[in-house]
Amino acid sequence: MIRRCATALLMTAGLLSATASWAADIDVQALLAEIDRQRTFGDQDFTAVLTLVSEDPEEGVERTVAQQFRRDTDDAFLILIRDPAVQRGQGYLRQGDNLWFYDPDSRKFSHTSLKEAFQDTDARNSDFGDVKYAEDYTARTIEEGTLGKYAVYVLDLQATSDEVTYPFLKAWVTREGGLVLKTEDYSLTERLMRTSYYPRYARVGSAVVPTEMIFVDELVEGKKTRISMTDLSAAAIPDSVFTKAYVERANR
Amino acid sequence: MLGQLRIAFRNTGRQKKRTALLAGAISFGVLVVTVLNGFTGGVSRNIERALTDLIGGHVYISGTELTESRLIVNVIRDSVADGSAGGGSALADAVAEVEGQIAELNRRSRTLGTLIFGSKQVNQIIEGVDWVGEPGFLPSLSLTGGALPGPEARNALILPESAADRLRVAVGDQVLARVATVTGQQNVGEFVLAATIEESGITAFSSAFVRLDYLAELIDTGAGEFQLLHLYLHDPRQADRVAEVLRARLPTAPEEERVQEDAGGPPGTPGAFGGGVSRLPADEEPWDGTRYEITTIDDVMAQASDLFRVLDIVSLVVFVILLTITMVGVVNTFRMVLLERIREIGTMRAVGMQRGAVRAIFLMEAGFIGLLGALFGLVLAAAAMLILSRLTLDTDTPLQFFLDAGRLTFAVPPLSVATNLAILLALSLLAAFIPARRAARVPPSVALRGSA
Repeated sequence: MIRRCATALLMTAGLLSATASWAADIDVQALLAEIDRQRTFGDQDFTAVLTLVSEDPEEGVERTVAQQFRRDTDDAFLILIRDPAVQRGQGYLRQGDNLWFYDPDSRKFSHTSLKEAFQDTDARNSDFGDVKYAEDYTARTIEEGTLGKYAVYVLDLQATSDEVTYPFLKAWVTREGGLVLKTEDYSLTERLMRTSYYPRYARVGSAVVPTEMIFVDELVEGKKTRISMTDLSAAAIPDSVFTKAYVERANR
Repeated sequence: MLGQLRIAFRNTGRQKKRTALLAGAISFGVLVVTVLNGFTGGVSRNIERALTDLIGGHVYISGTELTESRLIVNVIRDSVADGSAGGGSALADAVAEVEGQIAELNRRSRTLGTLIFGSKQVNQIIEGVDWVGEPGFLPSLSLTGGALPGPEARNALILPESAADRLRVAVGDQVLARVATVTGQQNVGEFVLAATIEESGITAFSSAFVRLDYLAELIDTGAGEFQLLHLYLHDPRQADRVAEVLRARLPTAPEEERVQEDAGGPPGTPGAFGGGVSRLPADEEPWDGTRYEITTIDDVMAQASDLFRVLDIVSLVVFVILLTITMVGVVNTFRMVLLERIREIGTMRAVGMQRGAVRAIFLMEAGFIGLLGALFGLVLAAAAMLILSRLTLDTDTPLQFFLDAGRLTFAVPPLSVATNLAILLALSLLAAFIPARRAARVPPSVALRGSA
């Protein structure tokens, strides 16, 4: 049973009006842990169909459809590309710390990283797994503000290790519900690289997941990627799905 | 013997058209095989030179460390004090062992980044060069626009012309560079285009150049740290020997781990061609400190050398096939010669010439025809190579990698010429042997009657 619990399309900076007040009494780590808890499936599995629409002023618009299988207890996921035909069968298999890319043309797996771009879009491979804000980041500042009609906390986060894609992050989190509505992703030199919007969420099983994500490239003018999730399910997935053999079999 | 040689030589000129046809057929085979040998030799030499320029040196040292989370990080933290040996580190001590062989020693860092200008972006190898400590570097570039940056220009960018064209960027424009740190985190650098340069080889492998210290900051290695140490040797043929000394002196990966999948790019291009930042598998033993990998221009050339060896073998097979066809003609010709000169043979036998001498005259004649054809073929091949090497080809293509300043070059290995001549002579003698033996066995009385 899928229940949409929040919607907002927040595409312009004009909607933002942070009230800039220090919120020192907030337990930031607890807030981050709550975000993680909500976004993680625990002992349930997750299946969805991903539709990625990538807009590039030079390359035009490209649409990619993929099937995602996810199991957070094992830090595992599998994304199999269905469309376009030229990329059909390509797969991203995460097994713990390892992420493999499968190329059906060469029939080979090659090692890749969660930090790399997904299919030349503005999404990173790490955007498709569970989130671990409490483990990966610590807050430098926290402010209260509003984002559109939502009362939010504005968190300025710094990575605690080199395991994450972006060393610095600014997150807009609803004060009620603890949903991340927007993040700004910064480079090591603290330059804004990407703005991510999460305007739509859905409850799937025990977790709340963003069903629409918009990633705006802040370095390349006019480049962005919109990801929509459909056919969401928390039904159990066979163990065999998270194996290389399954990826190869899916291509026969 | 001298008399037999004189007779054989005179006989060679008796049927000039027939001799010319046979020698012409042989010379065609020699022409083909010599040009092919020269082509592979020249291309091999050009590729080696291009790769030496492209990668920068003859021996390449890279270092890897493990982070706490078992990420494999490409960095060398050892100092090689001012490019001289004896800095006290393992690397400096190892380099000191081969100091006499080293003509030049360069520190570099290299990454694959995305250069961005407005809405345009290109993937580009970005190479960090210490152009203050390496004063010969900047003057070695062929500028097509802008000016060489001064030592104070920390964020200067020198870009291959094709990349500048694709970005539609002009000298003085600010260009962003999206790069990954050595652990794969995202980072952005801001550069100002100082100059554009000619491609150094295949466009895809041409590097953009930036200051080493600024790139170190972007890829998050420390100040003074680098990723690659390149050694130019006085004698490039010593590359393997120098590498062996360095491997013996430096901590390296076990032999079985050194055989890794080819990344497809120049050595030390971390994650540049699909590798990404990798993590040490849980079942593999971690290591402390820096582990070094030493490769040489010979390692880089190995695959190309294999290809050229195959090409040489193919050309040799073609040569033997052409010669075999020609030798059928030689056999028939000498059978006719036997019939034509049967009385002459009888006379020579009647005045006391031994069978062996008759046989030798026939074989010598075949040898002369073979040598004449070879000589003619070599002259034709030299002319063909001279003409082909004068042609200037389009340098804006990947073909440039195989050329020398836009021109084909030829280098014929003397050993190949000697081998080809030996094969030619052997086949000529073999072809003439049966008619020669038959001529030698004809009894003088029969020969004088004019029938064999």
